Amino acid sequence: MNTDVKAIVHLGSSHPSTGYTVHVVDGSPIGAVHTLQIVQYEGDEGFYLLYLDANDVEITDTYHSTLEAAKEQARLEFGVERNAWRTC
Amino acid sequence: MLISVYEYDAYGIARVTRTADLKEPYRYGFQGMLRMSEVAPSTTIINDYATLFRTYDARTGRWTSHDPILQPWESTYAGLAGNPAMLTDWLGLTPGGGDQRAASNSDASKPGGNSAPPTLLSSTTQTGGGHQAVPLVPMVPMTPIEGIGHSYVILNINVVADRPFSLTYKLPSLPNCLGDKPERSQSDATSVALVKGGTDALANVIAGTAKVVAGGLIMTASAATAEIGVGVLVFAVGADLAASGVNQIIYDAPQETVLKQVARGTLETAGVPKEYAEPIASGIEMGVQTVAGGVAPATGRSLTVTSIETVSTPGVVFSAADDVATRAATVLDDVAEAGVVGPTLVDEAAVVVGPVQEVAKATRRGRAPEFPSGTISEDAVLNTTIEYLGEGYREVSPGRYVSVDGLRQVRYGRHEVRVPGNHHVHFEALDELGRVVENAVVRIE
Repeated sequence: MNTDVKAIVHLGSSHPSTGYTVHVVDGSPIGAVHTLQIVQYEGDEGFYLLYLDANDVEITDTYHSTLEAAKEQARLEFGVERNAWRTC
Repeated sequence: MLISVYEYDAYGIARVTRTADLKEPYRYGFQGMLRMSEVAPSTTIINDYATLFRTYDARTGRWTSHDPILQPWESTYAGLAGNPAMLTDWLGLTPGGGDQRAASNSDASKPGGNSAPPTLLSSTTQTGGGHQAVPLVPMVPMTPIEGIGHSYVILNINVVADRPFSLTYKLPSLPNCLGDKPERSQSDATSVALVKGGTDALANVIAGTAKVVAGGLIMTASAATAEIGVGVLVFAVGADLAASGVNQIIYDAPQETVLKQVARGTLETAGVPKEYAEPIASGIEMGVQTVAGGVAPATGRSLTVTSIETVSTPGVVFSAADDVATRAATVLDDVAEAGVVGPTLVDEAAVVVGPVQEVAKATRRGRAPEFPSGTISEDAVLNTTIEYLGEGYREVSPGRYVSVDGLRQVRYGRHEVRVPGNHHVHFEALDELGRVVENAVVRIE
């Protein structure tokens, strides 16, 4: 499954989690998210917002029907403004 | 049981429109002082108080007789050392920075219980009276969230109100995050606002105030229900201003107007949609009190929520989760016993103190199923999905199933099975705009 990375942002001290969304993986809340990545998979029209740890390992993801919706999710969760994204 | 509701300004003047004895007058009022009801026996509005050592006039914010303990740096009539946000003086002896009752119990040799913790601005200056100087800024380190310094204490209680009501609670004062801030700043010490809107509004406020000192109480009013969030949001920037009380905000306009303006500006800055950004009432003033009230737009039901009269109890906010939990339980009990609750308490209180993950966990909206073990059998996936989504759900795209109301989603598609040995399923809760508010990932065994 080919992956097309659409945008990426590294979360720093200016992007604290707002607690808007609760992510629980395998029964436990997820740890610190260091990077957000929006990707699109071949054959899938949706956009996945990937939550990556310090080693760029995917912790979890959310699905969004548009690129803008994925960015809005990131804004709500981490205060990532539109212009903070690096487009790939 | 909720007996009385009182609201005071910073120095203890009872507010007429927000003060009522629901059952019978209560003997004690502002800061736990005895209300002198003989002065005006026919009204619940009492502004004269008696303490063990002297009487206090809230209208002037001053005592009516000399301080038994001479404070050489101020008038012997001065009330609360000019710092009602942080200090209490229920004995009429000398203002203290902490819970004087508790302190008195622990050290009966110090009248007034001034066994305050060390302070950064004024530590242990001794006076002729032998008691410690008034703490200007309690040393309460904030619990950092991932090293950033933002902390939350959120206590969300959702109720369905069937008639107007109000409640008053005391919460611990805002802790401080000290820094070399200018002595006066209105822009830093700003407010959390009451906004019109649905349940999103609260989250919008929270999301939008990352750089704002905020504290107190948030209420949102939606069409059919009213959601009250009682709690404290504390952020690092300028929190010292809100907490210290030494940095007085100087208002050029009536307080309410200023608060609304500040709240509106905060919301605009935060990017909250304009239709949700009109404050009905607002905010926090130096950690003194927060007032919120409004009308549910569809039902016209009004909901007035209170002031929070902050009490200087350094350390409580971030060190005693049990205390907050107790307060939550009290709120729930009072709401129920006041008979103002409709058919349901929508949610139990979610209480959290500390790091953001705990906040997130505690404030989860409780719709996505929980899997403490983190796993689910393959056979159970289908049944659990059907149970979670309810009748009429549909597959909106391959591997993505959404409930009829659009608020619940299950994802189990190619993406979730692409890694051998890590097949999983997402149970998600969405808000009204389709944004994810809960995302429970469960591994399939």
